[in-house]
Order: sequence, then C-alpha cells, then structure tokens
Amino acid sequence: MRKTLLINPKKCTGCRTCELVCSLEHTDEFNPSLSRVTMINFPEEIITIPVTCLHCQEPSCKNVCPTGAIERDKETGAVVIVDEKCIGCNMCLMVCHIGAISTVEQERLEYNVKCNLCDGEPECVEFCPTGALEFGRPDDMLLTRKKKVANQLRSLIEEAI
Amino acid sequence: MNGWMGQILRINLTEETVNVEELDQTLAKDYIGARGLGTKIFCDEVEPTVDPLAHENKLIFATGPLTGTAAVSGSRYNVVTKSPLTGTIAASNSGGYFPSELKYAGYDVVIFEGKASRPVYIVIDDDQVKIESAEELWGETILETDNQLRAKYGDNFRIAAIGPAGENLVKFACIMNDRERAAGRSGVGAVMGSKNLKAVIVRGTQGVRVANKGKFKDVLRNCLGKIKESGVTNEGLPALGTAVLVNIISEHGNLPTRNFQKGNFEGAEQVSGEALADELLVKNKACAGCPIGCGRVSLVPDGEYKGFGEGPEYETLWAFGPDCGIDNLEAITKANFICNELGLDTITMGTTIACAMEMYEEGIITKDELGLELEFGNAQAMVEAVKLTGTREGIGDLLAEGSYRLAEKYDCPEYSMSSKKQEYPAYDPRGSQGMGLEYATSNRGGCHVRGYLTSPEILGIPEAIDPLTIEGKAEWVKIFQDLTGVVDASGICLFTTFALGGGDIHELLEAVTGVGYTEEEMMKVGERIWNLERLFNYEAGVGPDEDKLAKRLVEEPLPEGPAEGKVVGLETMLEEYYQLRGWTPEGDVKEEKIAELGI
Repeated sequence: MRKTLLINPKKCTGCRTCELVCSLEHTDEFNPSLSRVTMINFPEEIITIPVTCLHCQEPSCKNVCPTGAIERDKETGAVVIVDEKCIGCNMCLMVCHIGAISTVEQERLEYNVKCNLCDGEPECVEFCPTGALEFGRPDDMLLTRKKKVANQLRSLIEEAI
Repeated sequence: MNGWMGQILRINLTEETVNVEELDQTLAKDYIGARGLGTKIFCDEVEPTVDPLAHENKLIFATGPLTGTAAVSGSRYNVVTKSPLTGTIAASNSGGYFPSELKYAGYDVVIFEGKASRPVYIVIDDDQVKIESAEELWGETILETDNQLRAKYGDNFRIAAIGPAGENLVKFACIMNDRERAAGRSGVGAVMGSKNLKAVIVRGTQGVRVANKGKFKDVLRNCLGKIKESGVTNEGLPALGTAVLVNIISEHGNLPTRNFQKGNFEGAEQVSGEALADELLVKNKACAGCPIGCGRVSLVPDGEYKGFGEGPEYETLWAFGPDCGIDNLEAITKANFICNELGLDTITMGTTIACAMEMYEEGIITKDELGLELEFGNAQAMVEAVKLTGTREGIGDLLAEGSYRLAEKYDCPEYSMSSKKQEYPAYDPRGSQGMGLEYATSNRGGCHVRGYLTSPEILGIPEAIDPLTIEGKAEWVKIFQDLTGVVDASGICLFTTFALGGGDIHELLEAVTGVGYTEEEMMKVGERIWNLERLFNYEAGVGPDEDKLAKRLVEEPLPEGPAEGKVVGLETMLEEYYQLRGWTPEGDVKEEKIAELGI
C-alpha cells in the first residue's frame, strides 16, 4: 500500500517548522513564502493548521495542465511538476481546490511549484515536533487512531462494569 | 551574507524619512545580532544621559542570524532602548512570528528615531516602507489593534503594537507582537508610546540563507535529540508550561510570598502548573521553529474572570498569585489577559501591587488614597488595580510608575523588591544565592533571564549545585551571563539551554553563518555585550553602587522552610564576581578589559 500524508490539526502548535525545513530543502534558504506547506493561523481562536497538497486521486492540476507537466510519481504516489515541461501558465493554480500550488520567481523566470513529498521522505514530517504531520501507510496510521478511540471505549466499559 | 540579511532599516519619525543601510559585517561578527548588535548600534548612536522618553532616545528592533531559521526556537528579537523604568540599557526579548518576518522582509535591524507629530504605524512590505496615520487606532487595546490592522492588510502581515499602557507611558509597558507575545520588561512599550508609534506591521518574501545546509540539518537533528532527552524541554515545559516551576520552587522554599515576606505559599498547589493544566489549559502554543511549545492557551469559561488567551507563565502566576497572597487561578489568569490587552509587564505589575499591599497593611498608604481595599489576598482589588494602571486612572497613575517610585514617594523604598528600580521575578534569592548575585549585577535591573542560576541551583542543569551556599557562584553567574548574551544575540530562545550547551549553539551559528567563529570567540561576544551594557549604564549614571539588593534580602532572614534563617551573602559574592570579570575591586570596567574585548 502506498504511503500518504496525514494532517492532525489538533497536534499543531503553530511552530512553522514544516515551512522552514520545506523551504530549506527545496530552495536552500529559510523562506516560508516559498514553502510548499503553509501554516494557516486563526489568531482569534488561537488555532493553527498546516495545509499542503493532498495528492488527490483525480488531480485537477494534472487534468488541466496543457503540457502534461504534472505527473504522478510511480514510487511515492506524489503528484509532481516536471520542471522541464512547465511553462508557468498558472492553470494548475487556478483549479487546485487546496491552493497548494504556488508561483516562484527564480532567475527572472516564473514557474510553478508544489509538494513532491521530498521523493518519499518528507522533511516537514521528519522535523514536525508534535506529529501534526504524519507520513505512512494509511492503514497503519488509522489503526493508531482507531486504537486510541478503542482505548477510550475500553476504559468506559471497565468503569461501567 | 548567510544568516544575516545584510540590511538595516532606519525610520526617522520626526522627518518621516526611511533609509536602508548596509550592515557592517565586522560589527555583525563581533556582536552577532539581536541583543548584541542592537546594543552596539544603540550605544554608538545615543547619549547615555538621554531622557528615555525624549525624542533623542532611539528604539531598536534587532534580530539575530538564527532568527527566521529552523535552528531550535530561532524566533527571537530584542528591543533595545534606554529604559524609563531603570534608566539603564534595556534589551527586551520576544518570540512569536513577527521577528522572523522582519528578516524575511530583508532587515536584521530596524531603528526608530525621533518622534512622530501624530500617532502613526509603520507598514514594512519587503522594500516598500510606509508611515501611516494611527489616529483611529490610538487608545485601542493590543487585540483590537491587531484585529483592525489584519482586517485592512490581511493575515500575511505580522504585527507588533503597544496598547493603552504604552500610549500612557506606563513605565513598564510592553511591546506585544503576534497578539500575545511580549517584549515585556523594562518599559520598552513606553518608549514606543513616547514616539507616537502605535504599531509596526511587516510582511516579507525573502529568504534567510544558510552557509552549510547539510551540516545544519545534522546539527539540528542532534539538537532536537537533546531536547527530546531533557526532562525540562520534553516533559516539564510542554506539559505544564513555565508554570511547571510553581511546585518545584515552592518545595525549595523560595517562592516569594506576600512581597517577599516569606518563601512558601500555603496556596501554591492551587496556582501550580498542574492546576492550570487541569482547570484552564486548552492547548500548547509554540513560537516559530520551536520544538518545545511552552506557550499556554487558557480559557476561563464563565464568571467574573471570564476570558480566553495566552498565558499565564510562571512569573505571571507568581506575581499575581503568591506575591499578592492570592490563590485564585481564574483571577490571576484574568489579570494576565488584561495585561496582554493593555500591554503591561506582568512581573512589574504584580510585584508593584504586592508592594502597595504591604504598604497598605503597614498603614503607610490608606484606603482613601488607593480607592481599593488592596490587602494581601484580595483578588478583586488586584484585578481592578491592573485595569487602572493601564489607563493611569486613580491609584493606577502611581502604580504605573513601578514599585520603587511608589515606595519612594512614601519614604519607604525598602518596600520595593527591586534592583536598579526593576522588580525581581519569582525566585527568592535567600534560598537561591546565585540568583541574588544575578539580580544585583543584571544590567537591566532585577531580572532572571540574564543568568538563570535557578537552572543549576534548583533544577540541577547542567549540574546540581547547593542553592544555599555562596561558594563558586560568582563564576557560575559570569558564565551564565556571557552565554545568555550569546543566546540572546543569536536569535534563539534561552529555554533551549535546558538541553543545549555552548557547543551546540556554536555549531548552529557556524552552520548558518559560516563566519568561522571558535567557541571561545563566541563566548567572548557574550562578555563583550555584558561589558558594553555595563559601560553604558555607568555613563547613564547607574554605576557599581547600584549592584545591590533590596534591604529585606540581605538583612531579613527567611522565616521558615528549607532556606530558613538565610539572607543573601551578596558582598562576598560580589567581590569575587568583580575579580572574575576583570574589573576593579570597586566594580569599574578597566581600560584593559575594554581594549581586550575591542569595545
């Protein structure tokens, strides 16, 4: 089974380490504005949630790309942009439901970038200090969640009996 | 440059001019950044005798080379100015997101000079910098100011602002950023208010470059491993916040109670980190790049102290709690929220109220003068006093001057628990002798975050030493003060030092900047900062005579608990300390030391 990226909003403390290590990995500098993952902040409620590409099963970005620059990586399952084919038309930006694709300017050229799951070893996941970002087989990760709920049920049952 | 952005932004509020200057690379290497670089620039440009609230005083926001990086907790900046509370140099440290954003906008340092002719705020949008009218924001709380500016400019801007306390020149007003992070101590918010500067908002799209990416990641992994292994950074702080200390300090009998009349509080359990986690904690919150996440988000769901926000920290819990004889956690939390809204330093606020409470109980100040039944334990009166102070109404006008000026007005300065007119935080130095030396010698007055001797004396980090003796403490204080200077200058959080040592910080600095420091040279920067601050204070008229403690701490023995019968053995420690610092026996910085450090 293919690994997938899961977001656990409740575990996010808003440290933005994901943005920092992502930009370091992909742009060689610390620059949240170039990060492929973005921490969204709701200041009044003091809630933070990391948002990034969910690598959809039917990716609109891939479907709309006029040059076929967006592909699914066979190894990692990531929806990736092939730089050489990208003409920077921004069509993918327009259709992405998540807002996970951005435009960057490098050496006077604009082109589109997005999360590529760091070729199967996402930096954001490695360095996330709280486990708010997870990468693994969905059945494994969801089993952990199910176990947590089961444990709560178990103690309720034990209390009742 | 790697680490540094290489630019200084200078904003003259009188002339309404904006200039960008190149950062001198030698200066950056010699002072690193933040508290170091900010202080150096400040001392070069400002007359030490300046009136802190006059337009000739300057206000400097300074980041470090690790600010805005993923180096553990690289989120800090320092606000450097001359303090209206102490008359000394002030460097007030804060985290959150705002400091990193200054870097992303392209600036290591922002200098505010002069005074605006009307209330203004500054918009820094990468290289576009504007001065806008803040007439409509003047008088608003921190949260309302933040709401209005975000409504106008969007959530991508990070905001630092003053509240009514800063506008009203309360001598211990803070500058708050990202709503509830504070450059808290020494009244830097009053200086901002004196310049008619309500807020600074910033957005940046530039990157902080790193000298050696591969090495950085290795060093970071190593540092994160150490933070995971430490009981303080991996368990205590995340689970209970800084409030983890209430029960620990209380057990050692040095939790100052009722204005330092004793060192143990009967209601400590009710105001502990454990009680906070059980009753009010919603979740943890971290500053940028921080794996610890000590920040608390708390909720008082209903009742007269209803509220929601960040805090309370240990110092705050203590100042409004045990120091005022109060064990009502909800009232303490409410006082914290009000301070955050008005922009008040919770330590000086709580301890000034505690001072007034003792003066009231001793009959020095009357209920008529106070307008409040300000007796120890009266939570309602305490909360009311906080509100009055932010707006300088009634007795608030006098409380707004801090405990020293309050007590001095009634000819009883000994009731102020302060050094250099800044109030002590939450550790009774009679039960933590090294902390006493730290309080007495700190360049910004009573303060725990210049050389946190609680770490070895109470927490046993990096090794346990006896809190009740004075032997060897001078050396510990010197090393801690110098290392803290380096930590503050680099732009990371002091809390990392519960798990990391000088060697780790050196590796982080080297991986990011690549300037080729040795660890010894790095520590020398800490010593350079310390001596520079001291020289400024001397010129400002706050000399070695002020390296002293409140009379109570050196004359009145603690009445009970593990430190019963103890006073602080300051004189002996001070003598040894001056010698280790290479100063004269009178505490003056020698010419040779100035030359050696290249100040």
